[in-house]
Amino acid sequence: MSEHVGEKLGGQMESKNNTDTTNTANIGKDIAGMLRLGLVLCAYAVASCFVLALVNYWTLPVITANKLLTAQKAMKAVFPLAEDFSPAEVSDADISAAKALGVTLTNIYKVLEGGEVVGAVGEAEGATYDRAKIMIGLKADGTTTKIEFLELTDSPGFGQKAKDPGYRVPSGKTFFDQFDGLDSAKGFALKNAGAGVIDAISGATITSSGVSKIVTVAAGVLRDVLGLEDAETLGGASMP
Amino acid sequence: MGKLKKIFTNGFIKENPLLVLNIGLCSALGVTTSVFNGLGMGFSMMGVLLMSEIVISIFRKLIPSAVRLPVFIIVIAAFTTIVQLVLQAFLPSLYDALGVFLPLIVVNCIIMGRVEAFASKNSVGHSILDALGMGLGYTIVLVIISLIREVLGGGTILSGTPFVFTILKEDYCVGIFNSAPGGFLVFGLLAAVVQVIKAKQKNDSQSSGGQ
Repeated sequence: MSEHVGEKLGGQMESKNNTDTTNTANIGKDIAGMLRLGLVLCAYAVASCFVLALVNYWTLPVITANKLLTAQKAMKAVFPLAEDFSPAEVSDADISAAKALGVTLTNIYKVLEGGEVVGAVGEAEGATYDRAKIMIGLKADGTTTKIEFLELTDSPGFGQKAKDPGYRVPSGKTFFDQFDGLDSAKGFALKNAGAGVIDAISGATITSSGVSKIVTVAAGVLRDVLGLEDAETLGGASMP
Repeated sequence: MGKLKKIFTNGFIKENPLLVLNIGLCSALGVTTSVFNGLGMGFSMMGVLLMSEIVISIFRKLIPSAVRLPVFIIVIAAFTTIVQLVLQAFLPSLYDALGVFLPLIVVNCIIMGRVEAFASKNSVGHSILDALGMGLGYTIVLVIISLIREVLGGGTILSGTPFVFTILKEDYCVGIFNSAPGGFLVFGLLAAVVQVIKAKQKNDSQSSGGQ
């Protein structure tokens, strides 16, 4: 029956030559045909959405648990000796300033060892070639401990090298290891941008500068959490 | 029986989606830097192709031809999202490795092409065979390309899995195979090999037919 509708629309041209009366009747039929096509399309969309909702309902708990586990592992990785993580209070101004630079910060924690604050960790998400979510750890003196990729959706073989433990930049380190133990006050600019400290991944400069920017912005917010002075380079050096 | 076999094996050599039809190349050349990625992409693609062909061929008489393309896209996009969610939940490492190429299965011309050219005109059984054949043809080629590229470019086999072992020292690796031009080189050579095989088959059948 519905194939019939398609033929009718196809035959629209011929019907134009008919008399006026049949023309009006045909227009009415055409509108009905259009509506029917719309409804058919709508039915397929609704059915698909229903199936997707079911699958989402079934997989969401597993995905959330996975993400939580990765985040906890990453927190442990950036601060192996930490005894406890307590949620940190971050000023809305900091968060929105970071957001204005294209970086979203979530799950910011103070790191406790023997009851003292020894650093802070946070998840920062921003644009690379596609998108990356990175866990960053900062010690109380403002030096980084480590960065860990929670998510990276860049192209395999190019941007994915940023988190590949087998890939080495010219200095012999992995790309992400370059961020270890740096003074966040000086920022994390790329070497090819001038006076930088980070070697870019060859073939993936956009990913490299994206990661550098995310870490720079996130470190700026973490510095505030730890009560350190603003870094001069926040939003400066690594910006294009 | 012969017809069924013909439908199934069609995608291997005769109408191999990559090497003969030359469609769906973008993601094929993009992900094939390691065998793990190639296999993962191949099976994800095959999953979406199979489910889409089944659904489209079941409903083929209920899809008005005027809106068939949007309907195909809706069905394909739904299955791609399902594969994405399932991988993210149960195989997160593969989900991470395939990155942006996973959602791009939606616009993979192989699926659109087979759904339009085959599933919308044939029965469910035949469509399943076509999807499996085409999917296998695609996966096999991906694995061959990625095997060559991984060994020559990275010096390893099966990196990204626990079974990784190194064959070539880093000094002997050829960097170009890790990037797109290397992918094109390997692809072009394989396409030439397939043409030789096809020409040989044709000659054989002609000469035997003449006797």
